[in-house]
Amino acid sequence: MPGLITSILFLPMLGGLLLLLLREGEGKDGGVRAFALAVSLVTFALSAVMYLGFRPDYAGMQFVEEAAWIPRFGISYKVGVDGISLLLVMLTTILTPVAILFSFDDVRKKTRLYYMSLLFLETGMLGVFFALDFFLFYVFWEGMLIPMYLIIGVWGGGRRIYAAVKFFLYTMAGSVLMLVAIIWLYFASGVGTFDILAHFREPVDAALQPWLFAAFAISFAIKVPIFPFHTWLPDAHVEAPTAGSVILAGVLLKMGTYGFMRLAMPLFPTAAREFAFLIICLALVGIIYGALMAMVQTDVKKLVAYSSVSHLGFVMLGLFSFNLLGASGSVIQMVNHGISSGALFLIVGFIYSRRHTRQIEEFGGLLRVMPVFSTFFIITALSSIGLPGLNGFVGEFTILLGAFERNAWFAVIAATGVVLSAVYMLWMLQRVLFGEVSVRANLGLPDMNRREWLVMLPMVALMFWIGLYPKPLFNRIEPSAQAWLSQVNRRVLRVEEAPERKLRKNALAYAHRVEVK
Amino acid sequence: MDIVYPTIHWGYLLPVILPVCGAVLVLMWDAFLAKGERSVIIIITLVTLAAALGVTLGARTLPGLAASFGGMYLFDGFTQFLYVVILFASIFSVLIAAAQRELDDTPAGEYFGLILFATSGMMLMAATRNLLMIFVGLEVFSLSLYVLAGYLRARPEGNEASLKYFLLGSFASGFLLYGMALVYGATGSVDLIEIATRLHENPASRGAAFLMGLGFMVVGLGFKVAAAPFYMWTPDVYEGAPTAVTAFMSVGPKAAAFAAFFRVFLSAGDAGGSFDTVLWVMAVLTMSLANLVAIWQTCVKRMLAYSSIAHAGYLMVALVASRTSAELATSGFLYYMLVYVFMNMGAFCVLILISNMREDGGTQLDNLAGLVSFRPGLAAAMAVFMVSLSGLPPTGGFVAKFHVFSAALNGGYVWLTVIAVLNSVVAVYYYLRLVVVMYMREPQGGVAKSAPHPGWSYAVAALTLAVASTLQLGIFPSSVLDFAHRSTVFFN
Repeated sequence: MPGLITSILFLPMLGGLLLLLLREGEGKDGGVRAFALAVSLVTFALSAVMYLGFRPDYAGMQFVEEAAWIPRFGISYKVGVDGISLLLVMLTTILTPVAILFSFDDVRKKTRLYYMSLLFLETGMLGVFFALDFFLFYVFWEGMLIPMYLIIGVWGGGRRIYAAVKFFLYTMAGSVLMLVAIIWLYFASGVGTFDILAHFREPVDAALQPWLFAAFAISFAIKVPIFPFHTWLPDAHVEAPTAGSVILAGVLLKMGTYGFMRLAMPLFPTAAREFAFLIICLALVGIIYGALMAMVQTDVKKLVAYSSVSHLGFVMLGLFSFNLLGASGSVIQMVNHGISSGALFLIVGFIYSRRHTRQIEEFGGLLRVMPVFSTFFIITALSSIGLPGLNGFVGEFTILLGAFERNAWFAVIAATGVVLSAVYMLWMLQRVLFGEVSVRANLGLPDMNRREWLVMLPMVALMFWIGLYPKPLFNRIEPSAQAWLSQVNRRVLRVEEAPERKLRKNALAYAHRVEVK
Repeated sequence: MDIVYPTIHWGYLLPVILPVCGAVLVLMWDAFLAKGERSVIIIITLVTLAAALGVTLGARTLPGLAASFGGMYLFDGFTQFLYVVILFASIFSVLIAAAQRELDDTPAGEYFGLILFATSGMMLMAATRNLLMIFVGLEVFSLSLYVLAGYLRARPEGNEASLKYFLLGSFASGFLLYGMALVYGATGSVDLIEIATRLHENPASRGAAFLMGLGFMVVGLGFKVAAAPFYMWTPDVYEGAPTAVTAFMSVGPKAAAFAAFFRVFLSAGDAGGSFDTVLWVMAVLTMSLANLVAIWQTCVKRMLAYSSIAHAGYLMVALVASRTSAELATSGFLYYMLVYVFMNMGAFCVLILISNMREDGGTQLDNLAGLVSFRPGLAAAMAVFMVSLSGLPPTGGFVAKFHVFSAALNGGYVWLTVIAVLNSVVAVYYYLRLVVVMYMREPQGGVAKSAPHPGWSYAVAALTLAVASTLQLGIFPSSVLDFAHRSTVFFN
């Protein structure tokens, strides 16, 4: 279907611009909200069309569209989707309407700008997953920062400005290095195009790989975030409004892991192998450290934020296991984490909108007051822990198998993280939900209203669907994951086969560069 | 003795002749106007500049016809693009001057006449391969700007700015002229093509005298582009001058002086190679110092002054790369310059409108607090300019930085590029602080609900053009990029 991806990609942005025509103000925001929700739902419908039209047996890029953009630099508008990006796109188009629907009661000031930012953000995120051109990728990667920055900074909590600026500067510091690496790669490879797929076919000189890989990796590691680049995350998550946290945890963090998978590893496989041990170690530290930090938090939102550090460690572990189980488990885990932590942030948002506090000690015995809410909370927490039958289990278990295949010790250490995640989640559940109602203010709390039901239902449905019947998803992931894996391995061989030939070829391209140094 | 008449291509001279004629016309017309009557003057100025811009864009540069007056005047692709830059800067400065309340009671004829003279001076400086003409052009625009900087006579800051600019500027001119004299002494010519030939043919001419001459020229030109360590005058002068003049000063002279920089260094070729390190250090110092100091500013005007120094640093990066990667560096410089016109002049335009709104005409950071609540359009425009100045997509500033950094990497300057991109992270901090103040803080009192300034429509026109161009240059840059690349051809 021609133009499908372009429509999915730019519809939210167009809708955001059209919001400018609607009126805002006290009591007049209904139109803005309804329109924003409608736009995001149409976007979801279009992406569902794409999902249904996706050929599971084909490993390459599908629905590819290409148009010349800046021909002088070999930059083109090239978009496409494969089994790796497909599910992340779906995750984005599902979480955005959920976030918008949640915000109906949550956001009361500058509503038009708010929904505009959310819709622009959706275009930015989709662009990152669709882009098949370095330049295009980078434009979306950085362009997305601005709406997220506004969402945290304008509608966030008490220390919102600090958190927003920190988020922006951290991400930016990483991504400018990636920009340098992209341009360097462009000149050093001599491919003469920014087309990502064309660069896959052309092995990068082994001597150059560590530098370029490091530049890409730092940029992505900050986004993931991998320990020790994670310090922006608790601030950003805690200060962001609920919808912002949902998008941040649900989709934005996946961009880091997606970046590793789509760009850093297949482009520089030799360097990726050299750095693998280091990155796995950092991932393991992150898994344990995130879990331990989550355990001692007194703020529910911060607890969820630290749990992200832990869960995304699993994704990194899976990717750098260099095997099929690890790779496809990682993709599933990205989606799972998006759903589970997104849902957890929604839940935190529900109690925050009732009590205006997120301190664990302020709650207790909520099960008696709000039984429906508590049920949703328990399901979500169990999905995050990785209970069999729910989505979290599928991803983490597959990753652990992959890690075991590479080195049993990695799996052993990572499995500790699973146990720890059960500890902090269940302990939190116990303190918030069970026992007697300890604080009087909690006695009269209303249970979930209809809008909150609507927000939570798709999330819980997805948890059960992925948990019970993940096969259709794996079917779509595996061909692409397989291709990704062989790409990585084959290219390593090619570089090792004929290093002299490569060097001679590249020597012309940057001889004068060496001379200047 | 035969007298050879120089070849003169009048059509190519028209873009310079028009502003000069316009300046004379404006000055004379002013004598017959009632006090306070400004719109006729403004319209004449705008028409003149627009006509010059139209002629420039319509002209086709041809190798055989480029040089008039034996190379004193040169209309090649490089000239053509820089004319576009300078004329746009001039048009913007007129539009925003028309909207600045502080300038209402000042003599209009002289103001706009001087703007037009300054414009012609900048154009001449960009359009020559002759050292003497570089100097003449420089003095024409500098003298006009010395006066314009102190145009608000009642303000002590204005007088300080004018005097400071004049004294230090004259000093720098002296350096430049001395440098030119030394180069002439070493090579026997003031024509850059001749100089290049002699340097090539006669290695002895590359001696100490030539290098010293080049060094002095670096000092003189470095002063005009406000590169470290010769930038000390910039913040005070920019802050003291009327905002519309500051906007013009932060763009026009840079374009002209960098043009001379590029022409001199590209023709010096390998003989100028020993200055690579000097320029490298200057570029790094300019970017880093300006960015670090800009963080601490609370006055937006002064912050923009430091930001303009920082941008001179990024342009220096292109200059450094111009020897090893000539085409990319030159076109990158041109593209950057054009983008810079729109984003920087746009930011100054917003600043003028904000200070118009206030009794005290303040341009402090706090004056912008909560702007989105009462002037959402203005806040959005400012946000676009700040994003572009930070070099973030999808704006022109990003493509410009991308282009310049490409040139530097292609030229082999990896560390310079890394320093430059890290600098742009530092810069993001203070540019975004404006967004923070406009969008994330509550408005403070003191906003006059007075009737809008009569020049409001000029400002709206300027802002619309600036926002549209900033975005267009970022999203659909291809045609202008091609223009910039075509303009890297230097005709003899």
